[in-house]
Amino acid sequence: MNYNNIYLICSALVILVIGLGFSNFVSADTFGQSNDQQAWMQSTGSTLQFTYLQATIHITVHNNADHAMFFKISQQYTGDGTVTVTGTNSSSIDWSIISTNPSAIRMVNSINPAGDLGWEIDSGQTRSVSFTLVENNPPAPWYIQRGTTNNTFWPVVNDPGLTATWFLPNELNYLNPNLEVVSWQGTFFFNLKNVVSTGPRVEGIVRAPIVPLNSVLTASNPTVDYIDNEIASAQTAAWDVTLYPGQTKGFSYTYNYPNGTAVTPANRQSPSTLINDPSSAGNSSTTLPTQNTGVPWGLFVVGGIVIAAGIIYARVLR
Amino acid sequence: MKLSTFFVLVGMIIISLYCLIEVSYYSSAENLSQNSSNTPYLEIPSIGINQPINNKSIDYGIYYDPGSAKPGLGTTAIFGHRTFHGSPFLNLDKLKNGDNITVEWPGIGNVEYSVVNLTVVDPSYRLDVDQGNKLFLITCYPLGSDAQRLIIESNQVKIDPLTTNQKPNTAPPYGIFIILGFFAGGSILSFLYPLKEDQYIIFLATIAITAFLILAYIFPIPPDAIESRLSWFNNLLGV
Repeated sequence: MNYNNIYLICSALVILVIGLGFSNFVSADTFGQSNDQQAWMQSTGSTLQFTYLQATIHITVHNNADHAMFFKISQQYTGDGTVTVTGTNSSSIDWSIISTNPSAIRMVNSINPAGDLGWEIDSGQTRSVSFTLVENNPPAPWYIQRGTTNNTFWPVVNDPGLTATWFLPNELNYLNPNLEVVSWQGTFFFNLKNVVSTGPRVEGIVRAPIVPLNSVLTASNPTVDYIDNEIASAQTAAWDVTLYPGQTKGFSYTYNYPNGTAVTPANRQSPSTLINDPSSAGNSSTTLPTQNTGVPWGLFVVGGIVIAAGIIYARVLR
Repeated sequence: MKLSTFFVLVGMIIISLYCLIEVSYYSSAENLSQNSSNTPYLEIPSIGINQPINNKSIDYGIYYDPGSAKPGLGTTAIFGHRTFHGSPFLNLDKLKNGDNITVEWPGIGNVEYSVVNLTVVDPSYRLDVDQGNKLFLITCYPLGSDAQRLIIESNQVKIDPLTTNQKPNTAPPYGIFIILGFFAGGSILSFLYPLKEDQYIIFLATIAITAFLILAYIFPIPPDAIESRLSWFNNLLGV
């Protein structure tokens, strides 16, 4: 292999790419305009859309009745209580159940034209089931807020920069006191896309679109930037996001009910024992933590030493 | 591949992580400074600081902590990196009592302060933000370490009407310079590497890392995640 040719070709490619990047910088600077200015999410007409939404629920239910009961799930959940057929222009998200484990059976008394599904639980039995829902018909153009309908119930989605949608994992307890929710876990995944490919960039706080109440946020990817406790009974996962023109980002998060090990937000500092220490300056209500304002360069030096050691060792080898 | 080549590659990756922080910073800073009409500025002539203040993150340069009051309205806290992220507070320790600091804040005016004290505290220190019309500039101490914090305390002297109109950031594209520097350094290293049969490995690694840095320049990566890992390694190694 002629390494000189590889050097030349690769060098030319790198210089070409860097040159293109530099020319972009110069043109933006020269003309004082850029497609990459900051913009903020809006409640309507947002350039940010959900392009995918999925929920996987694991639930363990105990039957306290003296006879068999059925734990039922519906193909559609709607905000205004109206049952709609999948694919129509309804006022809320049309969920579609894409998988059940163990396989669910079709209910004899169905309020949903597409059919309701369920599992039989014997008297005194504790049974664990899981099912996955996806939004199968993302409406265009505004997925975040559909029309002027006020969607207030799970699993409809509101604007991610403003609010989230709440529901009770233990609503089954209210609907059917004989069926007791022993544990519940919901893992949600959604994609956000800046649909305007020519700019501007959008930034803002994106809260989890679906948040179960009285539950613990146990996992998130990427790690949540903070947990919004504005709603006292909800740990709302929140991310500080930046989406460049045309960019799509995926977010997943998991809630457990009633118990779980809480996730640590990215900006959460390790607890300081001095926060309430009388010797610290001021009181805790009017003090600020000092931020980490330095990147230790010890490792940088180590990197240089490792390279030098490698070269010296290579000379010895030769 | 020889063991020595492996060492060199590890060293290159470590250094590239630092380059990645800086490339992401400069790329983000260029984007942030596009809309400067409402941007406040910090001006300290004695150490050559004249930079915009942001309220987003310390990772984007000089950062105003919204937990404190705005200038002229109470105690203001402003943070900046001592090393990397453009090193806006690199020379903060060179300030002396009596030096002037001006904060140009749209809607408030030019708020002038005079330095009265320099203090070094532990990282767990919490700053009292109920001390009247004062400005605190905070950075890391000593240079190249985050073991302690340097706090510059200054008293408000006066507030003048906003007179200067700062221009958008026209600083050179340092991010591109860093990428070019890494590429040049890696190329030279590969040419000078004593083991001829492994030179192409180092060069290909240089190409790959350079491409990654270019990608980070176009799509900046939030540097805090990289930083926390680097700090963890630093603490682990005790360096």
